[in-house]
Parts: sequence; C-alpha cells; structure tokens
Amino acid sequence: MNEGNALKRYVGVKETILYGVANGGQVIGYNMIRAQLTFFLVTVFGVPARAVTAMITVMGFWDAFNDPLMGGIVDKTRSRYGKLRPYLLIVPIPLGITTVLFFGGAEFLKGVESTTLKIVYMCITYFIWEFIYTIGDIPFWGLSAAISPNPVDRSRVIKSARFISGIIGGLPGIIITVCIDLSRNNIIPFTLSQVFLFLAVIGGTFGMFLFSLSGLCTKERIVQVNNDPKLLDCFKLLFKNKYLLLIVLSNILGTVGGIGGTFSTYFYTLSLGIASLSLVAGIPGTISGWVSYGLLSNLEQRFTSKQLIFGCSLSNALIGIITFLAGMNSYTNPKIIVPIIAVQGVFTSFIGSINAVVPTKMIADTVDYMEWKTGERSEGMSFSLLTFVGKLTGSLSTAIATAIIPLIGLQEVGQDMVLSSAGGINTKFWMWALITVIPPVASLISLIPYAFYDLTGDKLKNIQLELMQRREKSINANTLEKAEEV
Amino acid sequence: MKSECPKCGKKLSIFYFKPKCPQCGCELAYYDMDKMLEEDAKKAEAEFAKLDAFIDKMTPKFIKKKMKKDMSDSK
Repeated sequence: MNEGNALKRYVGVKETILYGVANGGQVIGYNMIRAQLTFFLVTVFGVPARAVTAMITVMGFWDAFNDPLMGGIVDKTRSRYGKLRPYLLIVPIPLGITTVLFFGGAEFLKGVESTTLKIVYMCITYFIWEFIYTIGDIPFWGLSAAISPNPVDRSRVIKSARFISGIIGGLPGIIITVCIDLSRNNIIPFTLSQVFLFLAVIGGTFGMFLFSLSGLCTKERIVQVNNDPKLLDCFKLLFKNKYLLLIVLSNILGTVGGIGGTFSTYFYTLSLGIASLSLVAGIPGTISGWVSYGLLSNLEQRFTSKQLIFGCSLSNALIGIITFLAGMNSYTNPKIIVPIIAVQGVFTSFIGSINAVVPTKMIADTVDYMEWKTGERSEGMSFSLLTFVGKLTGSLSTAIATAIIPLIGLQEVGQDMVLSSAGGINTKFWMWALITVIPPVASLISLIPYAFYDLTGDKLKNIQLELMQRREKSINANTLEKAEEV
Repeated sequence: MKSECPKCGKKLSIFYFKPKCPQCGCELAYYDMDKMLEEDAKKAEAEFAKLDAFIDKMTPKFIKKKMKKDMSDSK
C-alpha cells in the first residue's frame, strides 16, 4: 500500500457529523444523571444521602464486572451489520424508557412516605438504566476505532462526537439549573419533580432518536479476522495490552479530579446565593472549549498524544492554583468570583476539550497495537475499560464528594443542603478550594503511568502503516478467491 | 442498510442479524469490502471538497491573503 492509499479518507462529512449528533443524543440522559444524581435523589426524590452513596459505590463495583463482560460479548459478536452496530440499532428504545423511569420516580411515587420503597425504586431503575447504557456506550466508542482504517478519520469522528455532544449534551445542564431557580422561586408553576420528569421525557425521546443515528447512518470498515472468538480469549487480550492498562491506571489515579462538580452546585447556591450564576461564569469557557476543537488538529500535528496529556494536566493544576489564590479573600463576593471563575473556565475548557479527545484516540491506537501484536481487534474490551473507568471514577468521585460533605460543614436538613451551625469549619472556604485547586493538583498523580507510555510518534505510525498493508493483502486475497469462484 | 444479499440477491429481513447469507453463505458485512471502501473514499473526498469550497467561500479575503503569505513563508 502506498502512502496515498494510507491517507485516504473513508468517512465523509455527513457521517462524521451524524456520529457526533448521535453522541449528543446519547449523553442527554447521561449528563442529567451524572450532573444531577445526588441533587435529584437527595433533594427532589427525598432519598437519604447515605443510601445514595452506598448505591453509587455498589454500582461502581458492579460496573467492574458488567463493563468488561459486555465488552467481551461485543468482541464476540458477528452479524450482518458488523460487530458493534447491532447494539446501536437496538439500545436507544429501552434506554429512553429507563431514563424516563429513573427521573420520573419522584413524580410517580408522589405521596409515598416510605423511604425504603424510594430506595428500592432508585436502586432498580438506576441499575437497569446503567446496564442498558453500557450496552449502547461500549459499541458506540468501539465504533470510533472501527469506522475507518485511517487514524485521521477516527480522530475526526471523536472530535465531532465530543464537540457536538458538548453542545447538545450541555443543554439539559443549563435548562435544569435555570428550572431549579425558577421552580424554587415559584416563577414557574412546576415542582422540581415535574421539571425532572419533563426533561427526562425530552432526553428519552428526542435524545434517543438522535442516538439511533449512530446505528443507522454509520459503517464498520475494518474486517474482523477471527470469526469465532471465545469470550475468555477476549478477556485475555485485555491483559496483553500494556498501553491500554497504562491509560486505565492513569484514569483511576485521576479520580479526585472529578469531585469539583458536586461542590459547584452547593458553592453557587450557598456561597454566592444564586445557582444560575454558574451559567454566566461558564459562557466564556464554553466558547473556548469549541475553539479548542478547531485548533486540536494543529496541536496534534505539532505534539504527540503523550505530550498533549502532560501539557494539559500541568497547565490545569497551575490554573487551579492561580484561581484559588486570586479568589481566596473574596470567595463569597459574586462580583469578584464570577469573573475569576469565568477566566479559569476559559483555560480549563480549552484543556478539557483536548482531554476529551486525546485519550479516546489513544485507546483506538491501542486497539491497532493489539491487532498488530496478536492479529485480533478488541474494540469492545478496550472501550469497555474506558467506559468502566469513566463510570467508576465518576461514581468514586461522587462518593468521595458525598463523604466530604459533612466533613466541611455541610448538613442535610429535610430535602435541602445547608451550612452547618456547628462552628470551627470555614465551609465556604473549603468549597472554594474544592472547586478550584484541590481536584487539578491532586490529579497530577495520574501522569505517572503516562511516563511509561511510548506508543506515539514513529512507533505508532509504523504499526498503523504495517496494519494497512496487512489489511490490503487480506482484501486482495479475498478478491482473488472471489474471482476464482466466478 | 441493504435488505438483500450482495452476492446472490436473496432478500433478507431487517431483523435477520446472522453474519452469513442463509442461501449462499457469503459474509454479508465484508463481501466486496474493497469495492465498498473505494466507493466510500470517493464519496468522502467529494463531501470534503464541497466543504473545503464552502469554507473557502466563507473565509474573508484578508485571512486568505495571510494564510497564503504564511504558506509561502514556510516554503
């Protein structure tokens, strides 16, 4: 195969955009659950915070089993639609229904006083939602590695997915925050439980319609060599992939980086007084995040993935320290704090967009590495680890944050979170530290595994070029076979 | 999504998920893969050419001039 063929683009503009739109639809429900899980369950549904923490922790452990199992099943799947697309064609419908069931709980069980019943409902609906989400999520990201033999195509579809899902998936967060304020101040005649149900219906219908496009409008373009892989062999492949394991380890070490989100809602409500201020502070960051996607191709040409990861983490920590110091004497004054957070958001969103694309692209690289090393592709197992670690770290960070809540002087009173009357702890100061400096500095530890990661630069290029030559030979062999048949 | 076997033309239900054609046994997902890739590459090139033309049309002249100058400087 000459270099011209190696650089051929197979995924057109339409398919690239539709893959991104599908991800946007997929994450509407996911973002609602990730961003509002604790708030919805504790404040709206009336489930005790301890029960929520316990459920999240147990689900995290369940994912450790569920995700790789699902990844193995995906890798074992062979169908006329490919190995990933069948799931993307089926999953949107049940996922939409379970999203409505989960967020509709507070409305469906209105008037029910039994806390036990609420906990049971919460656990069942969350478990089913999580299970079905996994069945859709692993094939979706696996498809980014199988959509084209050209790494540039893959990078482009990942960027499209992250960019478009950032826009579409960000909408529920904005709408919910506004609706919370409007509902609490009786400006709209709906209770919080009705607001959540309404948004779940939108996410479960419109969102899932968009998600179904990933199965309907895409193609798998890489031939899966083994026609009958064993489930156990799929698992074994995982442990042969040292680069994938390094990425996973890094993600786990970076768990604390995600705790800021939980405290953000409480900081705006309790320290600054208005939850919607987070929207104002977030506007410049949103724009810089979009700009970042546009500049990422240039950055990818100048730097390796590893260099980008190091640069992003170090910059993020530095920005966190500067922000914390800039606001440490005025963290209750919205006029000073909102602009400071907005400036921080410009940098962190820029970095966040890079972090959203590069590690995913690196996982696709590790799938190529496994094909080069063993002849087998493991999109399912590899991306199941990505989704598992994403959920595990998300769950762990939520659990850590929920455990920190009483330690910094926050107290649950009825269905509201309030500042504890017990003295000695400067709760507002701790909340400021927890949304600015502690997460990015603590997550610097996640860089250690990357020090051992060398699947970059010429080594990676040579592997991918060799794979393309192998695939072309395989296709030529098939063509000859076909000609002989004729 | 094709509803028939690409080799023997047997009609297949959209709910038929098995990888091989029930009549001729050909691999439904990978049959004529080379041809499919060629077609996709042509289609993708055409779409990107359209997109490039659109971006070129929308880009202000002073930016184009600067880009040309940067390119000639780098050469």
